Amino acid sequence: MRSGTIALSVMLIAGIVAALAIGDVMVSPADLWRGLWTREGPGALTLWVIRGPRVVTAIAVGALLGLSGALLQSLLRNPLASPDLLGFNPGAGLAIIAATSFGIAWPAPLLAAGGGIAAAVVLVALTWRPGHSTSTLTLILVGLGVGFTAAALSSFLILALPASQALEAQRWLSGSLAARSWAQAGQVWALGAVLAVILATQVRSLKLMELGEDLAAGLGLRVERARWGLVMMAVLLAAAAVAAAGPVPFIALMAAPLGAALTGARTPAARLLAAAAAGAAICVLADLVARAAIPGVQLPVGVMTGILGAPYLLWRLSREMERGGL
Amino acid sequence: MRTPRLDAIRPTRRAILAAMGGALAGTATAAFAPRAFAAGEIRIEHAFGEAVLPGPATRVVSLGYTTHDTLLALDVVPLATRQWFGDEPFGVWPWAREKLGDAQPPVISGEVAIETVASLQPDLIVGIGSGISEAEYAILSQIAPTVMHARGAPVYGTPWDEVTRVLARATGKDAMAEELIAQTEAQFEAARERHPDWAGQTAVAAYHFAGETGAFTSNDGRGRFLAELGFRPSETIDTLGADTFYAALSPEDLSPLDVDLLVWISSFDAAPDLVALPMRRTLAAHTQGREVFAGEVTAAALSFGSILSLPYALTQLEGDIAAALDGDPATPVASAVEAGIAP
Amino acid sequence: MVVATLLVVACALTLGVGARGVGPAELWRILTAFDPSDPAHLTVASIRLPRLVAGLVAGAALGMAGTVMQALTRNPLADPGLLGVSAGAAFSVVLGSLLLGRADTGIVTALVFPGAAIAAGMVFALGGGLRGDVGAVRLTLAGAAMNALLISLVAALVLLRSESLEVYRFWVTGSLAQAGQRPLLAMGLVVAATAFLGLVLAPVIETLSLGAAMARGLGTRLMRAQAGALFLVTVLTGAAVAVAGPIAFLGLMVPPLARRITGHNLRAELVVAAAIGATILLFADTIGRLLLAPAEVRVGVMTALMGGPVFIWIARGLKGGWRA
Repeated sequence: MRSGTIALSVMLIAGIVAALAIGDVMVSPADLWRGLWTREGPGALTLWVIRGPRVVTAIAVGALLGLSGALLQSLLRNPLASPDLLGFNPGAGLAIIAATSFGIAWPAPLLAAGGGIAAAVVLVALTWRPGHSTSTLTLILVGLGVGFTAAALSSFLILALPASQALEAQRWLSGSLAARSWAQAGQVWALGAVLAVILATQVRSLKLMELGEDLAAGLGLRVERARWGLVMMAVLLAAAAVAAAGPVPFIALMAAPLGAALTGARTPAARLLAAAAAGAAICVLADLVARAAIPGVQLPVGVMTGILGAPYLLWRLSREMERGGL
Repeated sequence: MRTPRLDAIRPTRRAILAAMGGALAGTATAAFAPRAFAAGEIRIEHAFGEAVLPGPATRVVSLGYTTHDTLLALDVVPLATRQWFGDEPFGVWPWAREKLGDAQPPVISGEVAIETVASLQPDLIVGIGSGISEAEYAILSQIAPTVMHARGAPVYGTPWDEVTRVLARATGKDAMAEELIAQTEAQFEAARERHPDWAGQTAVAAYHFAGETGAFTSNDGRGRFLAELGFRPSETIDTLGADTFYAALSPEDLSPLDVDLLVWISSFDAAPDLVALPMRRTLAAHTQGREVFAGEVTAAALSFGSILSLPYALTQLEGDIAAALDGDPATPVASAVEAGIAP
Repeated sequence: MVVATLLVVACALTLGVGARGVGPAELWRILTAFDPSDPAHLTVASIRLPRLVAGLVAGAALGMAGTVMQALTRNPLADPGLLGVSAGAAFSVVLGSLLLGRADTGIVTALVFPGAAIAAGMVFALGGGLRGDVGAVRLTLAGAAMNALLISLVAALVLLRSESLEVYRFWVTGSLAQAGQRPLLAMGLVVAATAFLGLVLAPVIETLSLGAAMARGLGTRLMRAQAGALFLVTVLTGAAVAVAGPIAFLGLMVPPLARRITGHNLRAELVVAAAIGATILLFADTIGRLLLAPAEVRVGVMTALMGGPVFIWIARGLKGGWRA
């Protein structure tokens, strides 16, 4: 194992332990330890009821977003591709808000997937020019515009909601992990597991595609079909995360480069794994900082990833600029 | 820098700031009706399920924006209170301060910090009028039995006597509660007897906050207070705010506020905004001196609408209401003069 | 001519449409024989007139700010709202009011200018402006990142002081509804003076849009011209935010329309952009008042609804001439 892989694993595990051990109220390690095994006392309440489901949900949400970002960045060969910048996450968020407004009680993951796919379809339809390949940068810009439009529609719909629902919707739209239950954690993990298995069957296509489209076609890959399959995967992965925690920004953008930089992973499978681990670590740590950094004030996790992620994007842009990539 | 402001007194789309109002008392009473229970066990049904207490609670965390008033009235000092607005120490206002004594309960502001609640090891959590979600309730109820508003009742709409009865049951103080409720009702009745001319006149409690003007419906605690004094609510306001507890008005048309008695729920700090409100000057209620200004503490007492705050509000406002409605536009209304809104 | 007509129509709608309908004949009577005791007259004079002035000031300022910004960055996606300049102005007001007290005193409101200046400078520098070579994608993403950062910070500040969120909503999504309490006269004068300065500087800024090398060849002092353009953007955007809160996308929509009318002549473009900006903002505000009546849709939400598709349309057309 390379030292970077160890570093990433340590970061993830330390993040999870810290998120379970630290909070608004300090519970002594002895109490936590006793609570973990005996399921009794204040430690048990903290671990099994309050922090446990939240942290477990955060791990899955971060990993799903990390995978989605890694897929898109690899497909589009651009470190700026991610489901939030391309408009998929705002699309998924809009679908859930719209369902609340019109009283449609479908399960959140289904709505989020529908919204994400709709945003992707709109994006492709808008950038599709027969006979021309669309530049990645145009794709990103148009995706940004799709996201702006979806966000504007969401805030318009929220205006028309009754007061108590508007508050919930607003809180949800900023991306929050507050008050998760084991049922919710189980749902996002189950969905994530199914999607991960499907993704595993597509890793070979991804590997071939990275060799270049001509070579991949020469090796027997049906390039167009494989590409659509992978894009669809990226949308579904992001949608599963949005359904569980709202459109948390920037994790998908940061995870893959962080994972790759730490581990030096080269094969697609290794990079996906690294991105998932990095995404989970970012999400868990961001949520920890959001709820414990300021005593007595709990911020939604999305506010914290916004504060952490925006400087990253700015730094990334200046890096890309120096390399002449932009 | 933290000057006390009563911004929060008006309702906002953000329900966190929303007010305790009065639900239609009948429906709420039925929903809180007790069921058969095992010896010593107390069961309280509510919107999110049922709270089962093994016996009367003594360690109580109050998460409702105003429920600490009711607990203090019952001589139960809460382990923690919820911050609604203002900078009162421990979130406890003057009318309840004596009951608090030397206790220094922590104040929970913003979203409910579940870990803080758990660390206090309560045996009852009061969530009536707290705006917490079902997901939050699901976790809180694993910490201690949690009581919410009645099924079918609005989140912020439990009337003061109902809150008192439910919390009395949970803390084993039913007899004391009935006595307190009777005392408070007697105070209102005495006021009605002193002012028989108030009966049947229309009255509205209005706000102007962050650029928006509106009024509270008769389902709200502030509207209900006026009804307890014999006044008739405005049908226009009740129709406009049928789905909620307030009606926002267009700044271009404030005519629904033109009733016999207009009570502004505001703060002296914000009185200049009221003076600058152009259409207010066209109201007969204004030109004929029938406006009463509830500023700072009085406005808060009306907004809390609790068994402790309402008698306080009554004492503060009775003289002004009488001056406003004496039929002579020239009689000065002290609070309106102080705020600078008198004609 | 068309623009002037539309602007007059927009003004008339702003004065005439609302909870209390006021026809043209009534409007004329208000102008000629004002009666302060008539509710209709009072509505027009003390509610709709300030709203109209706020729309004119903010719309003209944002239209011109967008035009200057697009010339400066050579980027048709540049907009003071999208690139975080408005959010910077709003953030400094929210921060200032938390530290100093009320949100609408003069001193706190004046914080819009330093806030806008810092945000504008940072986005321009991060977007590659200092190398005299601003890429559309880079600048747009840098702006989006800056915007996300500032909005997250405003949200965090507001949550820290949960009790008066409603007061701060104005600083998150702009609105013309509070025009009566905004410093209309002062900001109107600021915008007028800055517009005049803009007309003077227009030829110099115009050379920037030819590219750094060309501009230098023409003898333009690059840094000075850029600093002048940034100053214009800062003051115009700051004044608009002080009057109406942050309004995105207006500066994006106006310049392409203005260019269609004037061709490439920045001086003329600025004049037309001011008129178009005010027209669009007033129309958006009127529609927002009618859509969910009696509730109002904030004009910042309306411009975002209109602007998203426009953004997509412009982004799609980016190719060839515009360096990524």
